[in-house]
Amino acid sequence: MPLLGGKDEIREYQERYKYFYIILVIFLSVISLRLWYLQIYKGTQFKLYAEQNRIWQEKDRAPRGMIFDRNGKLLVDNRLSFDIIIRPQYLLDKENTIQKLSSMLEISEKNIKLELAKAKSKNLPLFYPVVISEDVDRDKVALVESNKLFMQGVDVLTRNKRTYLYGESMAHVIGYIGEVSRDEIRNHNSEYVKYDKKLFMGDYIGKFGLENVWDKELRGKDGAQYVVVDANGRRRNSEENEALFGNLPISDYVPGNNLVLTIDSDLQEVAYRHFHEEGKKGAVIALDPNNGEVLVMLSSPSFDPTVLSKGISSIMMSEMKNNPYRPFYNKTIQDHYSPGSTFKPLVALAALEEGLIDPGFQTTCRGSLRFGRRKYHCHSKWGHGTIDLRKGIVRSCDIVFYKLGMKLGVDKIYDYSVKLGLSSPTGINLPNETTGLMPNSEWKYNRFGERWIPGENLAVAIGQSYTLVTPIQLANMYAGIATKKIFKPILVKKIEKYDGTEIGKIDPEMIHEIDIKDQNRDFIMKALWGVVNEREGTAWWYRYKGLDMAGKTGTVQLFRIASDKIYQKCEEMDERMRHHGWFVGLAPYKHPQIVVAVIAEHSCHGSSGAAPIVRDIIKAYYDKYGFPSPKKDSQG
Amino acid sequence: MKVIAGLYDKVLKYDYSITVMSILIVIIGAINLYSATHTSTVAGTAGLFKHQVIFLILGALLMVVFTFIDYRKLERFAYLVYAFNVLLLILVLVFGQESSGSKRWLSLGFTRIQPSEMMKLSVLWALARYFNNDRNIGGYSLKELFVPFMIALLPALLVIIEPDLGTGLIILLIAFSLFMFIKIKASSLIIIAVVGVISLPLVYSFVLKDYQKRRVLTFIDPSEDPRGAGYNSLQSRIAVGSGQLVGKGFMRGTQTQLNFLPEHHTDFIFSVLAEEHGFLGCSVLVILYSLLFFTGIRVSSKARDKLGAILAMGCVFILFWHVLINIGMVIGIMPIVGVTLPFMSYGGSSVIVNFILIGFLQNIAIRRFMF
Repeated sequence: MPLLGGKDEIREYQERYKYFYIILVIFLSVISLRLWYLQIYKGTQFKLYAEQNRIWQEKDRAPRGMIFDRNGKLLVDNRLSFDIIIRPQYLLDKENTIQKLSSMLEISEKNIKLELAKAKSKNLPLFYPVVISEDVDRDKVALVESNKLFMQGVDVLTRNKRTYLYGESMAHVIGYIGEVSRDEIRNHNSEYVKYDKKLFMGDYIGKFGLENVWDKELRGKDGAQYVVVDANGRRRNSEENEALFGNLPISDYVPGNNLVLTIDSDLQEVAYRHFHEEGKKGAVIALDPNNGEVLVMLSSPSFDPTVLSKGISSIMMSEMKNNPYRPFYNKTIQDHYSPGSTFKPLVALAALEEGLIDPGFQTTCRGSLRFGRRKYHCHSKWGHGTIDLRKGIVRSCDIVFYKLGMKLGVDKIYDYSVKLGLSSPTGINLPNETTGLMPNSEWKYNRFGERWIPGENLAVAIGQSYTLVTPIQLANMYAGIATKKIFKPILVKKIEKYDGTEIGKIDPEMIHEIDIKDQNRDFIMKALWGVVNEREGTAWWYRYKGLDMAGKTGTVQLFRIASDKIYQKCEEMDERMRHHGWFVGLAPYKHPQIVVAVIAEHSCHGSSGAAPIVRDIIKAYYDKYGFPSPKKDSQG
Repeated sequence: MKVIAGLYDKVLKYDYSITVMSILIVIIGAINLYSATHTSTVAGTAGLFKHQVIFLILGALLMVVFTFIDYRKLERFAYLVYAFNVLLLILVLVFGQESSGSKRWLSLGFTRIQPSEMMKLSVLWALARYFNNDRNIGGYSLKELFVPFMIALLPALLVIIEPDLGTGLIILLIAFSLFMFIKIKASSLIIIAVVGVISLPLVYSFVLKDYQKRRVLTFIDPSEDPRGAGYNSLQSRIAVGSGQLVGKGFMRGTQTQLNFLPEHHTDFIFSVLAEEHGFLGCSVLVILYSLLFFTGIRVSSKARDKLGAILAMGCVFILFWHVLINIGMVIGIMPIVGVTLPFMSYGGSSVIVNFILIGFLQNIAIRRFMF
């Protein structure tokens, strides 16, 4: 190949270079001219700006979306609050100003200096406001405003304060907000760059509960404006600024979207009052079994989200974190308990479905049963006498279920637990839901390397042994028995724009249908009705006359008790040793519209400790919505 | 022996202006980057200077390597390297590491690379090989440019969807500049211009991501987005303007040191120089760049063969567009696109690519002969 195409081509190449020299010269001249314009012609003015940095952008914070309950009652609001701030750049007469401010705000000078030092260590630009006092009352604000001229660098900023109208009652559902951390900024911005809502230092985001899960919807888009100030930090607008920068840009904020929850605040209050007034610990979950909507979700003890959103001291925080009753846990989904006797309907259903017994099954209870080398006790010391399956549920006789446990074996029980949604999270859209635990022989072998012992079948059948369920799983299990469907529980019904127009709707999501015979289901439901409505029923004393409710009690021993102390009175024990009480209620019993599960920790009994709470919630539901007259259909 | 003697001869005869000018720019760049990163006020900038020095040394070594491997021997790898690089771009889209919203990096375990930076070189080589083997007198028509256009368009699109609009545009600009250099028929040029003007709004509405649109809008009207691009643009103009004639002095630029200006060690590095060394400092840098470009064009005009001529021009184009777009952006005459300033901005991949470009220019210069 010739080195260069042809002589003609070479010559042509040589001629075109001059054009590229010319283009180069033109572009470089443009750059030089522009540099001359900025640095020489306008240089002095720009230098002034740089020295005092008299131009900054100020955020117009967008209010976060509001949160409503299912009937449109306001649960979370934004209220105007005032912060007193200092911009260190303009703090010329430091000692004097701090002294004045300290007497006005009744904060010690030391604390003000501490805040300033903290801000300095963060290396923020000097014009960034340092918050000295948050949420200051109006009298003090007026005092500071009127003295601002004599305290250079001090200013009052308004802010939307997140206010949780139901406080502790809904703290675990709604959660709280807090100032964004560096890590959160990094994580969010890598995903949010595609959206408008980028995060900056000092922004607030949802940290817990729905505030956290729905942060993207709730958080608005902040607006911004450029502010030009004089050397003392006072704002001004002059034509000189326009000459340099053109019109100073402004963008308006867009408020966040509102959430409408499935929660009914009235029912929630009924639950909260019980726990609060009686100082109880535990959790309440109420669901609509026909669509999985959560009506009540309460965990106790609780915390005040309004206070937490403002930011609390690390001492208070660690105190709360170390509280043995775990106020930061949403016990409805994050804590699991042994189900105790509330597990029995599942065992009865399994035995019926498997055809191991017929509904007329009968046995005799003498208070205890010998199996292998051990003696298994019934909770009734003297025994229930001759007793059938239905009465076994109504009176919660352990002997009946020991027998069923022997017939079924753990693996059959396990299969029915899976059908009824135990041993997997319900899938509710909240973080950190626990799975609970449903043992079977394979699990035990993998976990401990030991074979399943037949005696353990007895313990499993009365809800003891390794079995652990969360309150929401248990409520979902009863909903499953009643409707033969397992739904994914939901907390949010719809999303609205700030002006109230609907922009999103969350539809119920059925996870699976349960394949059980209607007659068996009806048998169980009738027995559950008997628990409340028959004189022998374990919850008879806690019923409301005329309230069409079914349910099941459960009591969970926390520690293995020596056989001579089995029948010791629970109330005489140390509080942290006392039994947990369970109650799950459904109403109306033929076509339940509400399922309520309550765990009352250390309340000794499911009947006295938990049943009244369930009853009152269902009563409140009945008073508010009523129960339709029973439909006459094939299921009835 | 003969080869070494020949090489020695070439080294003696070689005109050192390219080397000298690029080394001067590298020195200015290093000093300036030190000033931009020595304060630890921005999280994570503390170790950046050391990092950059390592890459400068590595880059200089690569420059030497690519000076002495005869560029004509590299021609046969052009398409292979091109294909490999396109493959890397696809891998980036699938497995790439994300950083502030765009996937640009491939992790190699010990370090991470940015295949889009290398792509500029690969496209240049692929086009150079294509045109070198294609005789044409009187200028290319549109039809004849279809294949070379596709060579540039494919990687450019892959880069743009990362999204890295700046590098994608640079790739297209390089290709277009080379087309101009190898000569397009006048009629075809007019058609390209018309189609370009018509397609701009289409590209704007269908190709650009939201934040990129916002940057374009901000350039046209800064009030469109005061939070993001508008802020950078205003603050960088303050920084540049406040430098005045001689600047505020080394490490004494207030805009830089107080962090008013985001990204001042990468895309906005020029504002640091402008603020601290003023109009004089800027002029020195601009003149050095200009001399580098002029010498580069001269290398092309005196190249021994067509391949060398095209390649040398391509190297100049790559450097030129980076300088023009980056400085233009900082001084507010161009929209904000993420493009680095050669030898000045922080960034390993970009340093290495720039050194290799200088290596190619020297390579062609050594092997030239006078007509």
